[in-house]
Amino acid sequence: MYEEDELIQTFIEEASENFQVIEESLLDLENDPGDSDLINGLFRAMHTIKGSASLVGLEYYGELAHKLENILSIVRKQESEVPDIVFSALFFGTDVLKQMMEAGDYTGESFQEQIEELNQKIKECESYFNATKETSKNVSEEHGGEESSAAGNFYSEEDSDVEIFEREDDGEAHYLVLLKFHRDFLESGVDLMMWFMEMEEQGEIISTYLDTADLPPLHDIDPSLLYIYWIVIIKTSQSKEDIEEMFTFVSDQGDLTVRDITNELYYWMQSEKSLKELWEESSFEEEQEEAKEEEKTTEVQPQTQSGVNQEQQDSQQKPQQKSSQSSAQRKAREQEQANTIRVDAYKLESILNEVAELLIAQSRVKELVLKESSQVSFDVDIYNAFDEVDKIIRYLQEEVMKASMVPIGGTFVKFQRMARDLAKELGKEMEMDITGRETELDKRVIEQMADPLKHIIRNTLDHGLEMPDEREQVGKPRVGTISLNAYHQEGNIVIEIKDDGKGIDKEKVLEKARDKGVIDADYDIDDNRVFNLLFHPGFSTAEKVSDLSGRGVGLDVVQRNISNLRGSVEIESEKGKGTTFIIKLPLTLAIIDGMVIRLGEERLVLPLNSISEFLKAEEGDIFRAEGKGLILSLRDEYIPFVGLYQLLGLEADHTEPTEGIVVVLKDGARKLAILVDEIISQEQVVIKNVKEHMEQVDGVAGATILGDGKVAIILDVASLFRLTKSFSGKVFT
Amino acid sequence: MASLIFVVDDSRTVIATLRHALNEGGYEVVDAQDGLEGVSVLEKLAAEGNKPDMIITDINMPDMDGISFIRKVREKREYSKTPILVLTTEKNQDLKMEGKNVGANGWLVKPFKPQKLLDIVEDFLK
Repeated sequence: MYEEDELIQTFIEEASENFQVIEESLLDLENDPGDSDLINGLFRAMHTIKGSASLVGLEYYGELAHKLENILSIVRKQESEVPDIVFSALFFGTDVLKQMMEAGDYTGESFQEQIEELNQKIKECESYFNATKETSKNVSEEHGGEESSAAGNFYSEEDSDVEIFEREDDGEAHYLVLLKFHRDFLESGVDLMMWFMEMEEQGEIISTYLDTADLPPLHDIDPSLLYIYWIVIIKTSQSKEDIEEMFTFVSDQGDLTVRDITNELYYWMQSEKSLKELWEESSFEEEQEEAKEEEKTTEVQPQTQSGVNQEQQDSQQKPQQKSSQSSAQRKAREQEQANTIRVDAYKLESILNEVAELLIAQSRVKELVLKESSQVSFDVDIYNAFDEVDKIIRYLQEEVMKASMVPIGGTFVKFQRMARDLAKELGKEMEMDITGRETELDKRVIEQMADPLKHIIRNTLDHGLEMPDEREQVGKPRVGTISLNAYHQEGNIVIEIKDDGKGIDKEKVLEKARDKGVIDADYDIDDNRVFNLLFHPGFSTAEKVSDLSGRGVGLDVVQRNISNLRGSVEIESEKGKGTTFIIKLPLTLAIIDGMVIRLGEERLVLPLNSISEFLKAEEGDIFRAEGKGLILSLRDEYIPFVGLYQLLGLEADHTEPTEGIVVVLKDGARKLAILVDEIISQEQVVIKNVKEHMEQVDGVAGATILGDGKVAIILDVASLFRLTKSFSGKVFT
Repeated sequence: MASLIFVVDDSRTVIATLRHALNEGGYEVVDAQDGLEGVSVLEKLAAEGNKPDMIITDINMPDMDGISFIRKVREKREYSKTPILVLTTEKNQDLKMEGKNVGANGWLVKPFKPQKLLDIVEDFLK
């Protein structure tokens, strides 16, 4: 009957979100075990998983979730702090359920052991609750009856438990009566009480409202005047006319209205607003409706008289203005509502790819047309038209990109969970501090970053943080802090993983590097480069292979994963104070703004966001620093200078600094000046990954197809900085 | 024109299932995931000159629970008579009475037979 797979897919998506809520809430709850909002949220998430599982026919799975839900339900009703064994059971249970879902094994056939253990933990919780207070008695009683059937199917074959609430419909009507007499009404000598008594006789007075807003202070009251008025609701079998008749002989002495509200009882009886407010509100609404009706009739009426006076025109325009205003309000209201639809990530990806292809095609057309027109005359209109198309494509690309971005918070939370478990296992105490949760990244980037991040965090816990006692000895708090931070910088996303642990011992790293033959025995390098050695394949400073970060998978894998995403990773560390991993990632995988430059026969692309400026160097701008390479003196700054041909080992037309063009590159706070032959153009380029087809080459981020159909290499600026380091000491000849 | 039924439940799986069952029964369905969204969906429908013929709501939901949602709906004059069916796992008698008092017309406990739901809907829409 149903599209089963689709339903299960919906279930998986929903359950994954709920698992995330559960984990997040559990972690928060550990810090604040009495927070009832968190407990309620947890309960609801588990409840939904349970309900949905049985709904899509995963009954066994639903039963497991149901057991956990029961524990939460007891916790919720006890209104006390959550004990450790409950945390343990819930964390464990969530894990088991998640693993089962990931494995698609909803009957738990290959999870027998874990399920056994889970049942054990649940039993422990139950006996804990049974041992505490008599409240648990009520709880378990309630649960025996209430929830047992809930774990079963959503659709029951047994008779459904339904109750239709019968309203006493005795054919009686409800009327609202407004009694607002003229101020001098009392002079007529009519006894007001008479009506109330008569209304009592006609039916039942349900509710009354007495308005005293106009009542003056006591000493100002004129006893002959009536300052107050009434709104009365009566229930009666009489007709509206009968009620109105009661007031016929005073109907000219004030505002007397009878309204049938039989169909609007909730509105009148249930609102927290007073009868007066409701009356004013509803009268206003009705006036508006009448106005609309009038508007319609005026539109239909043909203009018979030629001399329409100003007043009439005004009165016709007013309702129109009113209606246009209200439609504007309506639009604003519609915009406020966040409407979302779920789209397969694959679809977005293919749209983005198409946009990229469009870009290539566009620049090819542009190239051809402009070449043609430059032979005749330069056509400004054509040029402008191309600019316009460029702009639209760029806009389109940005919008699609935005659509595929997700906040990194969810991933961070996952790590929080993992780090917590790991720290416990290692006997370390840790707090995780997360900032920049809302920073958005391409979904694919986030997915591919999960492993590298996991590895770095493991490393940090394993090698970075000290044991609590050790920390105490050096005067640090027992609880170590790991901070995860994400933010934007120059068109990149930066992710920092920072700990306040023991830092990296530079000497040890050097020693090891020499031992392993990674560097020559007498090779002297500066700090930054020392730490980068850690990314060298097979490098590990841990003396013994630990269970966690040993296993032969080193930080080199981390670096490779990150550079596959055209990102970079660096380490900053201070002995005794801590270590920071800084990961830079491009905002998007597909398209960058690039500057095309020429070097000899080659054309190369530099990402625009890493170019600080171009200049033509004068004699004396560039000089040799003592014992180091060349330095460019730019305004008050000294910037390392190197020929790009040297870094890449290519032929160049110009090798003299004053002959070519100097490009100043930036990477965070660092700068680097390189010499190139020529600047060709600025283009949006589509990155094609070359690494699948060739060895990893330092300095290369990827390749692209230029407008003329030729291939150009895109340079990776971060690795150019690295390459330059190895050049310091060598000389320009 | 097919009757429009407004379904409010925080579980997308439940919504998907109800939508399917109700579509089979020839009804059109709009949905919301909690009371707060429910209220704004009703406002949006009103702006389009539209109004559901019946409302089916869960009780336990984030942001605005079913009871408050029903209360809010009933405060609108145009919804005084719209049938509201509660669909929940809750069986608590006090809660049921509260639901009745704020304006629910029926209380259907999960699990239930799909045909039963369709019968109730049909009955309400008569």
